[in-house]
Formats: sequence, C-alpha cells, structure tokens
Amino acid sequence: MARALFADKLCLSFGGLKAVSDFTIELPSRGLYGLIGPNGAGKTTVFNLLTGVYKPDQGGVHLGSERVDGKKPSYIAKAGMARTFQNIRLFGELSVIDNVRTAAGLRTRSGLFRTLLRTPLHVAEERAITERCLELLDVLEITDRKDEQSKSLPYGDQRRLEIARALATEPKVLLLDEPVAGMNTQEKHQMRGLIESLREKFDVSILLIEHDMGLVMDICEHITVIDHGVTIAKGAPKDVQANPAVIEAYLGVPEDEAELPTADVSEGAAP
Amino acid sequence: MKSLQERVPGLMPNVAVAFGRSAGPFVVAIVLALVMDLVIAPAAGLTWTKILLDVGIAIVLAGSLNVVNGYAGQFSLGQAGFMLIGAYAAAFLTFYGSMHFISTCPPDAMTPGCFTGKGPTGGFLGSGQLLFLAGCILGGVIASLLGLVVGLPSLRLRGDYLAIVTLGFGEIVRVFGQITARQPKNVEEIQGRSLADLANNLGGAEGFSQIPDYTAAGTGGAMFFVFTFAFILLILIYRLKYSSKGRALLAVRENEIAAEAMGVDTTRAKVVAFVFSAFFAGIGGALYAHQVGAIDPKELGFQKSIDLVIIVVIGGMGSITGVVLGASILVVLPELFREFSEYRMIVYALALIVVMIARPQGVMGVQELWDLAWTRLAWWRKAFVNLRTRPNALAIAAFASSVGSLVAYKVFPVVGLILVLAVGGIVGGVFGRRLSRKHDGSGAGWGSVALLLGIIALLALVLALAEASHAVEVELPLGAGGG
Repeated sequence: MARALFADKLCLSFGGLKAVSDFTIELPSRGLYGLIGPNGAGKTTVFNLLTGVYKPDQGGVHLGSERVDGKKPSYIAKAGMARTFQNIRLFGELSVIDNVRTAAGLRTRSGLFRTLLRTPLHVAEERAITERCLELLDVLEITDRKDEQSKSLPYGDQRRLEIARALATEPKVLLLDEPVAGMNTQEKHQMRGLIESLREKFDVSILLIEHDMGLVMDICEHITVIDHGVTIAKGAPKDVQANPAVIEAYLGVPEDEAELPTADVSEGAAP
Repeated sequence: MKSLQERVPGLMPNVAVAFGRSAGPFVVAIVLALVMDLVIAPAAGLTWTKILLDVGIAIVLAGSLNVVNGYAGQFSLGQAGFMLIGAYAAAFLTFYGSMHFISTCPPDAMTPGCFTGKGPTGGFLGSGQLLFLAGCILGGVIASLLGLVVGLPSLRLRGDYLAIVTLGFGEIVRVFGQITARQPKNVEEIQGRSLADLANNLGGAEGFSQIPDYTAAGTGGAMFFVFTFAFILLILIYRLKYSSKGRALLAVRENEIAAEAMGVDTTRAKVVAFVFSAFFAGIGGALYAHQVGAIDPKELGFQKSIDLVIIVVIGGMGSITGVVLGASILVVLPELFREFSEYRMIVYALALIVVMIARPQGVMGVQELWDLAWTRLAWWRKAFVNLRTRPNALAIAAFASSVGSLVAYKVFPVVGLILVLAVGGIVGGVFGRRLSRKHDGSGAGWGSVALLLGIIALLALVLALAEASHAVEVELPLGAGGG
C-alpha cells in the first residue's frame, strides 16, 4: 500500500532539552494510526514538527512523494496535511460555516483581483465552497448550528467543528490531537464511529493522539508510544499493551528494578 | 466527497449575468457619485458640501485602514504616512504637471491662473481632471509600493510592536516631507526644468501650497471624484469581506496559528492587506490635498493616524457599515458643535470614553446593518413561537387592552399619544424581557430600552399635565394683563 506520510528520524531540541529524538512513522494511505504517551511525552510536539510549526533539527517529513520539512505550515496544509488542535483554536468570532469556509479557501485558484472583480471563476468557487462546507457540516452533524458564532458552541461541537475545518482543506493526511478529550461516554462513542468513517468518505489517512486508551486500542491499526520524546514501543495495539516499557512509562517502575534499556524494547516490538 | 475544484465547472454562472454582477455595482457607484455632484452638492450648499466631502474622504481613509486594523487585526498607526505620500505624489503631478503637460501658462509670462490654486479643468473629465485622476492613481501606486517595502519586514511583528513600527514610519514620512526643498514661487523657476528635477521641490516645512482645488467644495466634479473613490472602496471591501481572501484575513485576526495551519499564508495575507490599504490611503491623501489646496506635513502626522484609527474603532473593527457610520459621526458631530469651540473636543473625548465603556467592540461590532436586521427578525420569529404560553398571552392582552381603552376613551390627542407610548413601553418592556428570559437573553437589552422609554414617556406625561394645569392657573390673570 502506498504510504501517505513518512517521518524519518525527526529530532528536535529546545536548548538542552531533547523534545523529540529519532521519531519515525510510516503511515499508509487510509491507515489509522495512534500516537500515545504520558503527559509531556512530546506528542503534540511531533504534530508541530509534522505540520511545520517547528522545523526539525534532523530528519525529514515526506508527504506522499514530496518532502515538506522546513516548509511553512500553510504550504504543508496545501500539500495535503491538516490538523486539529488539542487546545481548541477556532476562529471564535466567525460563524460555524465561515470557520469551515475559511479552510476551504486554500483550494481556490482565484486571487485578490478575481475576488475584487467577482469574476465567474470566483463566483463558482465561492458557491462550491459553500456547497462543500454544508456537506461537511452534515457529516459532522453540526448543520443546525451553522450560523452561530463558533466560540458559543458547546465543547463537543467545537471539537467536531475543528475536524470539519481540517477536512475542508481536502487533506490526504489528517492529524487529530485528542479529538475526544473532555467528552462523555456517549459523545466518545459517536466520535469513534465518525473517525472510523472519515477514512472511507474522504480517502484520508489519520494519525491520532489520544489519552483514551479504550478508543485508541479499539480503532487504531498501529500504535506508536513515546515518552520523553523517545519512541519506546510501536506495533499492533495488543502488542503495545503488553509491552513492559509502555507499562513502565504509564505506571512507573518498582523501586528495586533498574531502568529498562528502552532501545531494545522498541526494536523488539517493531513490526 | 467531491473536491472543491471538481464542483467548480458545474457551478459556473452565466457569463452575462456574472458580468452584470461584477461591473454593475461600479456603474451604480459612478452614477450615484454623479447624482451627488449634480443634485446633492448644489442643494446642500457650500458648508454641507464641504462636510460631505470630508465624510467621503474619511470613508476612503478609514475604510481602507479597516482592512488592516479590522479584518486582519493588525494594529497599524501609519495610515497618515501613506496619506501624505499619496498627497505629495498627486499634488506634484497636478501642480507641476499642469504646467508641463497642459501648459495653460504662457511660457513668457507669469499668468495668475497657474498659481492661484485654480487648476486647469477643461470641463468635466477634461485634461485637468484627467491629470488629477492620474495623480490620484499615482499617489495610490507609490503609497502601495511603500506599503510593500514597510509591510514585508514589519508585519512579522505583532500587536504593540507593529503599532510602534508603523508609527515610526508615519513620522519618517512626515520628517522627509519637512526637509524637501522649497516650492518655486514663479513660473521662471520652473521653466526649463524636467519633472524629475523638480521632484524634491515639495515645499518642505512651509508646506506645499497652491494645489489645484479639484475636490474642494464648490468645484465642479469634487463630489463626483471623492464619492466615486469612496463607493468603489466600499464595493471592494464588501467583496473582500465576503470571500475566501477576506475570511483568510479574519482568520489571521482570530487565531494566527490556526489560520496558518488551515493553509492561510499569514504573512502574505497581511502584506496584501497592508498594500491594499496603503493604495487607498494614498488616494485618500490625494483627495485631501486637492480639497485643502495645500499639504502641511505637520497636519498629516501621528494625530491624523490616531483620528482614523478612532473612526474604525468607534464604527466597529471589521464592519463596513460601521466605518461609514463612524466616519459620518466623527466628521459631522464636531462640525455641528463648532460654535462651542474648544469645549467640543472635551465632549468628543467624553463621547469616545462612553462608547468604549458601553460598546467596546464599536457601534456595529463586526456586524453590518443588514446582519442586525436579520438577527432582529430571527429574534422576533422566536418570540412569536413563544406567544402561546399563558404569561405572554396575558402580557399581550394587557398591552392590547391598554391601547384599546385609550382609543375608546378618545383622550386629548397629544396626551393620549404619550400615554399610549408610556403604557405600551412599560408593558412591551416587561413583555420583551420575559420573552428574552425564555430564550437566549438577546432581547433583554431592547426590553430594557422599551421599559426605560415607557417610564420616560410617563414622566413626560406627568410633567406635561402638571405644566398644563399650572399654565391654566396662571394664564388667566396674565391674559387679562395683555401679555
């Protein structure tokens, strides 16, 4: 299967702190992979590296056949990578539909002059944007809130809107940063079905950060575990669950045991 | 799901209709500007024409500033700098250019016509006015080029830092204006010198005077030019606001990181907004220079930039109707209270403070007049649905009966009207507040207003009645005395 995203040994330091070291992931198209780790492990930093918010010190990011590391986030978004944010970052004053429309704008061909002159192409593109965004809101089930200010939405709908907005950019790879954080069981259940359906509907590969282990273990085909920026395990969900290094990272070590050599374990668990 | 570009061919509008929609508004704008020039200007008289021209120029300047400060949320304080550039460029062309290209001045003599500030016109859209139009465009182009030069490095800064840089830019332009060479005072000094040679003779600290008065009140075509530009700007910023490009700017204002992640090249978007804004600031400056007839660099300094920012803030950051409203209010009010001389500035400042406390988002906020109408309509529709509940039905019954009884008793007309207003206001207020509590609280403010108006009307009624009874008592002896 063709690979949609390939991150090759990404490293990033903030001063003396190694935030991410040798992070590698190969995401097949239409794959649904998970990225987990304890708080502060560097998961969101990995997302920021992939989407160009940070430039990696070493390593490369390949989106399809194109190398995108070192490019601006807006360029990477155009190349086909979209993300949601852990701490929701909607365009608060804008309406729900306008949030989605804004993101859809990057697939338009008409520039400033066509906009100011309202040429037929511009008019058609604006119509297409509205049409597609309404369908997106339908998929995410927030159509009845389309004219509300996005900052006034309840929390769960804000997360849905973030996903709708990311999908509006027509991504090949979708990065979801804790999509079910703060949701109740029922909402989580709905969101889970939704995330799974996105792959088919939008022909998109998904990389998911999530703290809800139940959800991650159920829907992800492959999981990468990082702690202190180091990959400590990767593999199928049940292998990762049984991995002692993962258990240690989440639960800590008994006092009498020595520190485990992490590199061996990660290699052992790799597929 | 079908991608955006797959949908586009199927949604292409009919070419003829599209052309009409594209060009139509501009035609309407020009016709409206002509009407203002030919009908409204003569009817309004010189003073009001002058005020209207001020409003028009303020709309050009503040409307373009709104693209940077309102849409993109970048705090620029350099608008007067771009204005000054545009003013100099256009005045240079109309002052020296008139003599070069149109030569109304005989080469051998100092003709008064050259230096009285009355430029050559040649009638409507004659050579003089065409040169002036070219000057406006030249001013806009030079200002926007400078906007590009200033914007590229400085728009990487945010908030206060950008404000300081743009403030500095405005001051630099002003100082450069003040150190230019003196303006020639007679024709001989100009003859034999090329335009490029004269480029530094912009009057320096004395100012650049005797600029032809193409946009001064009383000149034919003044209203036409000012309002053509004002209306065109309004059309353009309207189209910008309701398009992908405009939404991208709003996204930059709302959350720069998210905007960048959604494919908005934030630096580029900001620079484009800045250049667009500078272009119209330059044109605004050109219009201003040809209205006043002179450019004094000191007049177009920091204070002018602040004045323009205030128009945008008061009107509502990002609102088009807000800018029109803000420009009208802030230009017309000081003119109306001119007789109070210095005190009006205190009132002006107080009014600003009150607006900022009562409505920090500006009079219109980010909304437009038509948005307000829609939200109000939606609110009433909601209220209508809720009519069936018993308390509301009672409130309406009370209101209707109070009105009905008043009509039935055929009270003395004026008193009756006040009474209707009073009772109606109070009942309507209670009713409105009740309805809004049932819903989202959006009607609470209007309920309170209605309540307040009702109470005021009732007080007025009481006072009027007291006055009336008093008048009746004292009128009899006075009437006998022949007063």
